[in-house]
Amino acid sequence: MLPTRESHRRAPPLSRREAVKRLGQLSVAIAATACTPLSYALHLYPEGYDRSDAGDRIHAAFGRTVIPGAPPDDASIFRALKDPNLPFHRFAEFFAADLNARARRGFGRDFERLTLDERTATIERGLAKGGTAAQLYGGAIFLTQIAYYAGIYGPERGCPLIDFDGAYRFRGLEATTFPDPERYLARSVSADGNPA
Amino acid sequence: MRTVQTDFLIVGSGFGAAAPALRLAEAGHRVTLVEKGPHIDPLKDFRMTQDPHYLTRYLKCLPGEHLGLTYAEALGGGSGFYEMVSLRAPSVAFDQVDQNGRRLWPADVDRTALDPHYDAADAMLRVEQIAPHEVPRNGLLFAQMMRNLGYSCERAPYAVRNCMGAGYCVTGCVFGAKQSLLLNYLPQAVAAGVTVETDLEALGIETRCRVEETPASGPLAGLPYRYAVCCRRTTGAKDLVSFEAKVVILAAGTVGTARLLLRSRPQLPRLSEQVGCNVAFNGSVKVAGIMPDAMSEGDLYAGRSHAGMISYEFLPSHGISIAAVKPLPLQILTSARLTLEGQPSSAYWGAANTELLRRFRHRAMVLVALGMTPPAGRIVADGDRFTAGLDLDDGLRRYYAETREIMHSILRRNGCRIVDAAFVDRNGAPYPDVHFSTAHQVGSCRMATSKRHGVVDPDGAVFDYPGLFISDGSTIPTSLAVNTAHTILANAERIAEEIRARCAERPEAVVAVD
Repeated sequence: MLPTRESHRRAPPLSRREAVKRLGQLSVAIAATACTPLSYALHLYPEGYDRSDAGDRIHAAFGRTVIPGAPPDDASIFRALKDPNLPFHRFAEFFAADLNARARRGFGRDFERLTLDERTATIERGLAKGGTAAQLYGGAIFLTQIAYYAGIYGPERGCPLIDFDGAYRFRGLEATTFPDPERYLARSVSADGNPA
Repeated sequence: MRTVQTDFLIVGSGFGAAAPALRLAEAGHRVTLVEKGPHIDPLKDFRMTQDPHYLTRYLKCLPGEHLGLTYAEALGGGSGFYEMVSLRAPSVAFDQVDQNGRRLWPADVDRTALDPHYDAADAMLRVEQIAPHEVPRNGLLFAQMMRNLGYSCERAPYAVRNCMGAGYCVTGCVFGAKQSLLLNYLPQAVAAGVTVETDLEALGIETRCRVEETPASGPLAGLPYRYAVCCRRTTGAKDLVSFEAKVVILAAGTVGTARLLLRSRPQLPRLSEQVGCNVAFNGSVKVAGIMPDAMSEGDLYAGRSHAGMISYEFLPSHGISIAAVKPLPLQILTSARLTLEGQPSSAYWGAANTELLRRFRHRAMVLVALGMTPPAGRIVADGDRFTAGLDLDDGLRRYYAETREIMHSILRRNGCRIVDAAFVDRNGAPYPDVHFSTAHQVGSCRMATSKRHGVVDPDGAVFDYPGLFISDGSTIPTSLAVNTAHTILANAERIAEEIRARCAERPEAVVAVD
């Protein structure tokens, strides 16, 4: 047998820098530094931004807008936005405040109190803004979709909304094959599956 | 700094490394193998998950504007994470020429020369053509589509035993069904005496003597320790270890080997200028469609991650193979902006997208074409950083468009509705231009008959550096139009045989006695 090292079996906690690097490598999340030029953070900060604001409720409303049909009490729909191991978490509160500010400007109410159509319109306005705002909104959509559809926070459960089963439970090959394969097969030009 | 002396040092532990390690140890040589990534016990360390922290621990990406290369860093290299497809390269792949008409493969390296080594690899990995009753639904539905159009389609050979169809091939098979190198070559190499050290990154290579004055072949006994490879532990105190070796075999993969040699160029000034150039990327193009209700339901989110069927119908005419694939892990699917043809491009999120992904589960067909695109990529050093470069010319744009059109035509003529997929960059934004992403990269240190055209000779020996070899995918000079793993392994078997022959002890002189 090959030598083993117990210490290698569990990934160590990731530093933020390492997380940025790794996630960027797999196109899994947005590159944090690209999203927030200092000028944007300093000069375009939404008025009335309050760190004690109910960011979770805004994030949840955002998640339910990006992925309609997700159970309303499913916190995993916005968990990725605040996951300290993912680069977006640095901007999560800012993003919530920006969403809320756009909702108030557009519809006179907090984002979470808008209808689905109004929330959709608010997000579309963020995307249409272009530049850094579009990157921020696009990145949040991207991250929410990946995390939720792929069931990142529930590998056993997967994503029932799209009928993704998650981790394998033995069902037998018949669950993923047809009983009459010959009915489907095309003519073959090789003896063993290899090209000539 | 600790110093270790060994006869053979092998850098890397994947398809290019495992065969030389085993064959040289079997011949009685003292072999040490170092791997940058972590140790893996397939029955304990692999997980059925989409967790990016898990995936990115092992799978890395070299990004670029038009080209993205994915590779693995772990014991066993990519073998723990590949889709088990074990195909031989088509004969026509070896006949590819450059723009001047020069054959890219050395004259004596072709399919016929590799076939015995494919046989050896088949036996080690227990490769078998998938049985009809094991072909996943989407593979059979793809076969049906090809049959409907009068095209051929093959059941692919795989390195697997007792597959349960769990679908988590790319995250590492937790059932031990996938015949990765962790189950055959590497344990056998260890049993034969190879010392394996993981979590050690090779930082640079330097010579310890005037290597050009040392013999390129002959017994090792009289040879000095010609090369020193400085390695750094990637865990803990990150201590340095220096390996002094008589022979060094680089097998860190197309990215890793080129990166190491580019870093080492100041210490190895006679290296070919071709290091890092000529990266072939197997022209990977992907399309998707929603199957008509008249077709049976598929299984896109379940079963083997490779759908079992591949067609060579367009190999002679267009230099491509076409296979049905599955987007597993699912992040691969959700990291593209997907919209049904005819929908506004903004429909990549919201209710329309959710509905589309729900339909994908049973009704989507995803096809990938692999093609003989020219070795136009490169690995570019920018200080300590590296990126993947590709000059996108009209020929590549035409290839991309024509290949997409062929696959769209297959889908459309079978009643499918096309799904537009805009693949996104690390910022979550769609690539503005054609972008190839692949895990089939080869050729950054390609073999050739002269230093002007390549980095190693046909036997894997680095030009002008006796005792320095390369045995991994970086030596493969062209795209193959099929999955590359098996050819990398077969070629490594071939190179291992050459190295073994070069380092064989000379027979004792026969003294004539009256």
